Amino acid sequence: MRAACLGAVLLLSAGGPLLAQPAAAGAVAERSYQIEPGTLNEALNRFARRAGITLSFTPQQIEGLRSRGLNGPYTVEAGLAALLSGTGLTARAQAPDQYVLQARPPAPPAPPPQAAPPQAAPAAPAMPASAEPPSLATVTVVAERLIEPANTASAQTLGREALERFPATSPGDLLREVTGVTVANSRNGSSLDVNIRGMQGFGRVKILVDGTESSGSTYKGYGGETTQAYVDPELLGEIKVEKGPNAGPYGAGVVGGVVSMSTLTADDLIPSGQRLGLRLRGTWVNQPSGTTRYAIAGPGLDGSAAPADAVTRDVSLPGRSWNGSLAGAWRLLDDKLELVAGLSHRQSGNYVSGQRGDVLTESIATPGLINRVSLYRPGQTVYNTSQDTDSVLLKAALKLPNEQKISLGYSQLKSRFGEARSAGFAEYIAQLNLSHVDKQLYSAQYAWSPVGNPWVDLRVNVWASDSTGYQAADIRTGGPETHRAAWTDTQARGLEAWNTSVMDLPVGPLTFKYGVTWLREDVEVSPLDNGTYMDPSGQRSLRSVFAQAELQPTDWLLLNAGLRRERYEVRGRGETDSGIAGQVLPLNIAHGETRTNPSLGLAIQPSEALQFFARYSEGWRPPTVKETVNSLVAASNTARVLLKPERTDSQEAGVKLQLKNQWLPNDRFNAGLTLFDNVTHDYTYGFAGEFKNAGRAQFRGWELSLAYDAGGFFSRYSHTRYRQVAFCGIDYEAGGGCADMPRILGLDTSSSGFYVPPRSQTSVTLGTRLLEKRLTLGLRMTAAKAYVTGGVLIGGWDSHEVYDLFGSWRIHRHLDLAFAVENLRDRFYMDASTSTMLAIPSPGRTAKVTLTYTF
Amino acid sequence: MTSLRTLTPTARALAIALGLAGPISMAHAVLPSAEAVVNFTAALPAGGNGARPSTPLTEAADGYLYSRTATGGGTVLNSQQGGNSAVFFRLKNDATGFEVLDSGASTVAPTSTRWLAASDGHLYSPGPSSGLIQRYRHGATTGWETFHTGSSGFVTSILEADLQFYLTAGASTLASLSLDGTQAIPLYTITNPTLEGGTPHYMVRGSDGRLYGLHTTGGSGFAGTLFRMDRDGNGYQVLQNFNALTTGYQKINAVRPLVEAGDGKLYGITYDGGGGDVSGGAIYRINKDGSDFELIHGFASNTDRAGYNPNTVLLGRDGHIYVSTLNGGANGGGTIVRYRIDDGVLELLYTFEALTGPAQNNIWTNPTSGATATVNAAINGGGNAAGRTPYHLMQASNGQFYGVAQRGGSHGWGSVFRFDPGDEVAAGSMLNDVPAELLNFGINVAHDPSATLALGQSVNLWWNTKGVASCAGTSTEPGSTWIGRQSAKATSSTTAASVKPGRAGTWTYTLTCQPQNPAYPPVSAAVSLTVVPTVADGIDVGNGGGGGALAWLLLPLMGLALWARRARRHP
Repeated sequence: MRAACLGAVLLLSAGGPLLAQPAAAGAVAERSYQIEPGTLNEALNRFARRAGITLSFTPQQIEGLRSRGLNGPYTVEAGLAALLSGTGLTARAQAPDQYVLQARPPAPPAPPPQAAPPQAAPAAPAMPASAEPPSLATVTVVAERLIEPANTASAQTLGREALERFPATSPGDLLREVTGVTVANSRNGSSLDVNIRGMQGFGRVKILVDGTESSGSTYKGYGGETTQAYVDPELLGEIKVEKGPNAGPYGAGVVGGVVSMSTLTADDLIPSGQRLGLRLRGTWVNQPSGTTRYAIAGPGLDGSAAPADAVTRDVSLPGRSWNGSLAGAWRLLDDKLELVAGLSHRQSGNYVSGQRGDVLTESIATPGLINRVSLYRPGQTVYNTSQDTDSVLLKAALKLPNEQKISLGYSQLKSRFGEARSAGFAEYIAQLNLSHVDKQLYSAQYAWSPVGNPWVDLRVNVWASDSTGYQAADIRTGGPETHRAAWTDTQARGLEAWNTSVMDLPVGPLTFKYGVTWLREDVEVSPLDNGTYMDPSGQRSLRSVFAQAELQPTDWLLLNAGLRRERYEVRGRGETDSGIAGQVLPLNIAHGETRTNPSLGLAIQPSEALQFFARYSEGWRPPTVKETVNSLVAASNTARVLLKPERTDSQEAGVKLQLKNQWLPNDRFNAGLTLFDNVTHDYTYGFAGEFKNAGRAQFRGWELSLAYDAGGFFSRYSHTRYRQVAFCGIDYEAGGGCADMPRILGLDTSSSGFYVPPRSQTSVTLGTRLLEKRLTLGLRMTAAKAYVTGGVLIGGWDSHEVYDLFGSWRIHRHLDLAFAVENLRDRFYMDASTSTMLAIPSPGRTAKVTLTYTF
Repeated sequence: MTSLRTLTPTARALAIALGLAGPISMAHAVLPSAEAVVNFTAALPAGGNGARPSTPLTEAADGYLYSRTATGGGTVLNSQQGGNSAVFFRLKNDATGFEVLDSGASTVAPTSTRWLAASDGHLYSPGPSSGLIQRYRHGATTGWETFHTGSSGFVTSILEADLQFYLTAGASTLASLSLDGTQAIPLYTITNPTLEGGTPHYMVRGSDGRLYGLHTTGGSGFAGTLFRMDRDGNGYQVLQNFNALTTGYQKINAVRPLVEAGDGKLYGITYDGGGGDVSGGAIYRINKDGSDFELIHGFASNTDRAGYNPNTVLLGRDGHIYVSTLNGGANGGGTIVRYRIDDGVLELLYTFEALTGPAQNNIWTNPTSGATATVNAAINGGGNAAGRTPYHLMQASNGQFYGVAQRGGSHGWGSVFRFDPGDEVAAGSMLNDVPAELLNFGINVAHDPSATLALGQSVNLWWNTKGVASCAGTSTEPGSTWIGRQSAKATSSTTAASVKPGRAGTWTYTLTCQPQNPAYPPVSAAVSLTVVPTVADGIDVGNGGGGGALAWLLLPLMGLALWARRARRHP
C-alpha cells in the first residue's frame, strides 16, 4: 500500500546494544481496533495509523507474511504483539511512539541454577549484536499518525524540535507559531498571559506543568490583571495547547483552553539504546545589560508601603544575560526505574527596546487621531524586565507488575524578577522594587493498564503546589496612591482520576473515559500595610465528574460526546464599609454552584488525507477568591451581589488535509482551516480591583495553518483572524450596549480587563536543512495587526512585523549549536493582546547562541 | 482605623462630609480681655516713650501701627502733662517692635485724629492749619511734610476711594483731591446748614459707590446730619437729621463714627446727647437710602454700664459691630461693646478697669521755679493693667484689636492696649432684650439630630446661639469630653465641637445655654449618637456552599459499564 510505504529514509544509528525497549508512556492507553485479517503489511499500517505510532520495518521482513487481524481494545504493545503473533517478529520501542520490527530473539537458554542470580532473568534480554538491524541499508517504513480525532480537533502539540528552535527568553516565546494563540505580557516578569481565541486572563486559560496547575494572577493597578506562570522553558519537553472548553480530565473550570506543559522525560534525555543520558546546555545572549544598580524608594520586604515610611535602597539586577541547564536521566532496574533530574539557571537584566519605530501612531478607530503608543522610547531600557531564576526538576518513574506504573515528580522554581506596573503613567516608567516567588510542585501519578482487559486503563494524578510570593510595592512618589506590597501564600491541591474502557458495541467500538477531578486552592495574602483590598484571602474548590464517549461506527466517522458535571465552592473573607462611619463590615463568603457542561463533536474522514470536523462545547469558569471577594467589597455593590461564573459556548468547525509524497519524494503537506465562534456569558471584567459581570463577550474568527516539509526545505504558515470582537453589557457603554471592535478605548475601558486580541496574527517560517540535515537555517516572520487602539493616555500595542533568524548545526552527535537573531530589524514594538496599560516594548535585536552537549 | 486613601471615592467623600477627614478645632471658652502692649512712661531721664496718646493707631501697608502721644517724650518731667515733648511712634501689628520715630515739639506729628494710611503706603493727615494736608513717608528724612494746601477751611477728614482723595473741610466743603495733591475740586458746598447740615467731619464710601458723611452741626435737629452724595458731588441728600435728645449729636471727637456693615446698612455713632437715654451718645443703623433708622442703643451718661461717648464704630472681621466708649461704664474708664448683627444682641464685652495701682513717674518739676509737685490725679491718677479711657478701637490686618488708652497702664500715662474679644461673654453682658435661643444644634453640617458611628470615630456638633451668655455640655456617656463648658457663640460656619465617644452605646449629648438676660430661661437641645463597634457583625454572603454531591452522576456510568460487560459475555 502506497501510504504505508511512504516515509523518510532514516539512517539508524548502530550505537550500543539494542534492547527490547518498553513501550512509551503514551502506549499504555488502550484503543479499540477493527483490523481485518490480511497481509501483515496492510495490517501493520492500519494499526500504526490508528494507534498514532511510527512503525519501521523492511519489506523483506514482512514479505509473504499475513496477519490474523485485530478486533477489540488493545494497548499499542499488546496490539503489536497480537498482530505479529506467529510471524517470528517482534516490535521494539525506540522512542515514544516509535517502534521498529525485528526478529524475535531466541528464548534465552536456561541459566545454570548456580550461576544465575534470581533477579538476573530479564524479561526482554538484550539482542545479540548479530540481531541488530542493518544500520545503513535498512529501509524503514514509517506509518503516519492519523489526523487527530474530533475531540481534540483544536489541540496542537509542540515537541522538542519546535521548542528548541529558538532559545526561549520567556515561556511565551514557545507559543508564537500556534494559530489562535497570542501571548501577551510575555516580557513582563514571569508573566505568561496566553490568549486563546480571544479568551485571556482571569484563569480562562489553564496552564499546567506536568498536570499541575501552575498559574496565578496579579493585580497591577490600572494595568489590570495579569496571569503568571512560573515555568522555566529550559526544562520543558513538550507543550500541548487545547483550545476551548475541555471535557477531559484537565478541563474543569476552563473556558479558554488548556496549555499543558510537560517537563523533560527520560526519553527526551537518554539516547536510543542507552541507559544514561545527560544534557548540558548553555545560552548566551548579547542583550545589553544596561544599568544594574538602582536606588529605589520603597519599602523593604517586611516594611510598610506607606510613602512616609519609604526608604531608598539599592536594588541590583543581573548584569549579563545567560541561561544554562544540566539535565540527566538514568534507567535502572532493567528499565523499570527511570530517574530524571535537571537544574537550570536563567538571568537577564533589563533589556533595551528596538531602535527602529515610532512611538506615535494614527488611531485605527479614529483616523487622524494620533496616539502615543508608549511612554517608552525606542532604544530605551525597559524597566522591570529582569529576572534571576533557578529551577530544579526531579522525577522518578517505577514500573510495577501487571502493567502498573508510578511516577513521582518534584520541581522548584525560585525567581526574583521585575514586575512592570501601569505603563500608562509616566511615574511607572522607572525601575521598581523586585518581586520574587518560590514555587514548588509535587506530583504523583499512577497508571494501570492491564493487557487484555479493555475495561481498565486507570490513571490517577495527585499533585500539590505551594507558592510563596512577594509582590513588591511601588510607590508613586508624585502622588498619594500606593500599591501595596504583600506576601502571598498559595496552596493548591489537586486530584484527577479517570478510567478508560473500550467496548465493542454493535454500532462500533466505543471508547469511554470517565473520572473525577478535584482542586482546592487556598490563598493567604499578608498585606504589609493593612491593605486587604486588592488580594484577599480565601479558598476555592472545584470538583467535577466527567464522561467522554468516542464512537467509531465506520472507518470514516468518529462521534464524540462528553458531559462534565462541575461544582465550585468559594470561601473567603472580605471587609467593606458598613455604611456607618468608621465601621467595617466583615463579609463571610461561602458559596457554591453546580453546572453540567456538555460537548459534542464529530469527525468525517472521507479519505486518509482529509478530515472534516465540528465541535460544540460548553465550559464555565467559576470566579476566583479574589474576584468574588473584591466584587463584594466594592462600594458600588451595595446589594452584595455575587459575581457569576462565566459560561462559554464554543463552536468550531474545520477541515484538515494531509498529503505526503505529492511533489517531492518524502514530502509532507499539512493544511488546516478552523472557524470558531465563542460566546462567553457573564464575562468578568474589572477596574481598579473591582470585578463585575458583563453581559457577554464574543470572539469570532478563523484560523489557517499550512505546513510543507520536503526534508531539505520546510515552511509553515499560520494565520488567525478575528471577524468579531465585542463586549456587551458593560458599564462604559450607554444602555449596556456592545463595544464592538475596532474602536478607541477610554481610560476606563482600557483599564478594565477587556482583553482585545489582534485583528489578525500571522506567522511564516521558512527553513532549509543542509549538509545531510546537520545544518538548519530558517527565517520566521510574525505579524500582528491591531484591532483597537488604547485609551486616552497611551495607545498600547500597535501593528507590527517582526523577523527572526534561526539555525542549528549538529557539530557531532554529542554537540549541537543553535543560534537565533530575534527581532532582526530591531523594531520597536509591543506584544499583541497586551492590555493598554501594561504594554511595554519588546526587546530590540537580540542574538542568542546555544550549545547543547548530550551524551 | 481606615485611612482616607484606602477608601473608595464615594466613601472618601462621605467621610469628608461626615467630618471624619481630620480633627476640627475645639471651641474655647475665652472671655474678652485687654492687655497693655505699650505702657507709656512720660518723660524720663533716659527718655520717655510718651504720655497721653492722642491719635488713633493707623496701620500702614508696612504692617506697623502709627500714632502719637501728646506729651511725655522728653528726659525731664517738666509739666503736669508728663513732659512737653510729643512722641511719634510705631509698633508692629503683632505688638512687638515699639519704636519712637520722633520726639520733641508737638509738631512731630499732626494732632488730627483722622490719619489715613493710603494705598501708596504713606500716611496722610489733616494739618494744623487751614487747607493743609500733611504726609509721612517712612524712611524719608523730612518727617511729616506738607502734601497739599489751599483747600477751604480746616480739613477734618481724608478718604481715599476710587483713585481720589475726598475731603471734608471747614464749615461747608466737600471736595476731591487728586492723589498727587495737586488738584482739589469742590464737590459740594453747603449753602443751607439748617437743611443740609454743616461742618462736615467724616466720610466713607458705600458699597454702592456713593459717599456717605456726617455733619456735626446743622440739620433740622441742629445736631448734625447724615448725608450722601455721588462722588461727583451730585445727588446730595440728607438721610438723617440728628437730634440731641432723641439720637444724640455728632461731634468730631468720634474718631470713626460711621461704617457700612455686611448687611448693607450704615452703622454709626453719635458722640454725645442732650439728656435722657442718649445723653452719652448712641449707636444707630440706617439703610443707605435713609430708611429704617434704628437706634440700637442710647448711652445714658454716668449711669450706663455700657459707658458713654462712643468714639469708634468698627466693623470687625467677624462681621459684628464693635464700639468703644471713651467714658463711663462700671469703672468709669470706658468700654467696648459689640452688636451682633446676626442675632441683634448688643453685649458689653469689656469694661476698662479702674486705676488700682499707684501712679508712676508722677513727680514733675516746674521749669521756671524748679519746684517739684505731684501730678494732678485728674491727669495721672494711678495705673492699671491695660489702660483706660480708650481713644478708639481698631483692628489690624492680622485680626488683632488694638487701641490707645489715655490713662492708666503701668505708669498711669496711658497705653497701647490689645483687645481680645474671646469666644464667649460673661453672664449678664447683654445690653438689650434678646431672648436666649439655641439654634441648629446638630451633628455635622447637616445638623442631624442623631447619627451612628463606629467607636473611635468622631463627629462635629454645630450650633448657633442668640442672647446666650454661656453654654455647657452634658452627656449620658460617662466621661465624655463633651461634658463641660462649650462655646456660647458657636456658629454653623465657624466653630464646632468635636465629640469622640469613648464607648459603645447610644448616648445623648445635650447643650444647655444660659441666657444673657436672666429674665429668660436657659435653652437646651440634644442630639443622639449611637456608637457601634468598629467591626460590625459579619454578614454571610452566598448560599453557604456545601452539598452538591456529584457522586450520583457516576451511577449511570456504572450502569452503562455493567450493561456493556453483560453484552460482551452474552453477545
